Amino acid sequence: MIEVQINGAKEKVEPGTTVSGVLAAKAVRPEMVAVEINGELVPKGKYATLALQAGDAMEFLHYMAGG
Amino acid sequence: MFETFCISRELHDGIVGHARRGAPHEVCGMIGGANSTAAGIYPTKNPDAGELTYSIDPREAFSVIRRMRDAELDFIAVYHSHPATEAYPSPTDRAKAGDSDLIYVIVSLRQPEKPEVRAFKMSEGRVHELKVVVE
Repeated sequence: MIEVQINGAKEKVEPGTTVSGVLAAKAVRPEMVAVEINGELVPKGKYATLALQAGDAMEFLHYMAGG
Repeated sequence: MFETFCISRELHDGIVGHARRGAPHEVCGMIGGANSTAAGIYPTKNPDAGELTYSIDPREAFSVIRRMRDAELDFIAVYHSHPATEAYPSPTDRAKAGDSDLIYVIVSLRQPEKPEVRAFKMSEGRVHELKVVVE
């Protein structure tokens, strides 16, 4: 297991866990959220392939919009 | 029984003031606090710059969340204005509300001298109103 931060909280995940894997584990629909790792926005096309590394800080939040 | 959203008079008036300054365009921002009690408002840009829609750029939103965390606040609510319509979620608000834990605060300037602030939770198109307590 590796230690990462997800939305500010320390968590342990399996090595190789991707952004998509984290979102799926939290029952979050990937198309509804923006994701940042270590302060950099992650393109949606990389969610399925980008694996977290030890010490990474991942943040996700739902898009906010309306009318 | 209503859940409540508690906000100080100062923060309440801050949101209303932001809405008035931005009218006739919609304005938006984020609210930090704990549980359902507001402790700080963070006005954000509205890239839509329109009278009918708002959005918050994710880059700015992440930056605001870091500021909230530095201030030991949780991100509890998002607010936006309805310059000419009631303080109730529009069909667009309902369709785009993705976070069922987040409180959605709407300020209406339909009656400019009598602004109205209401708070809601939304999930899959359903709307649940919270009682706004200004103290």
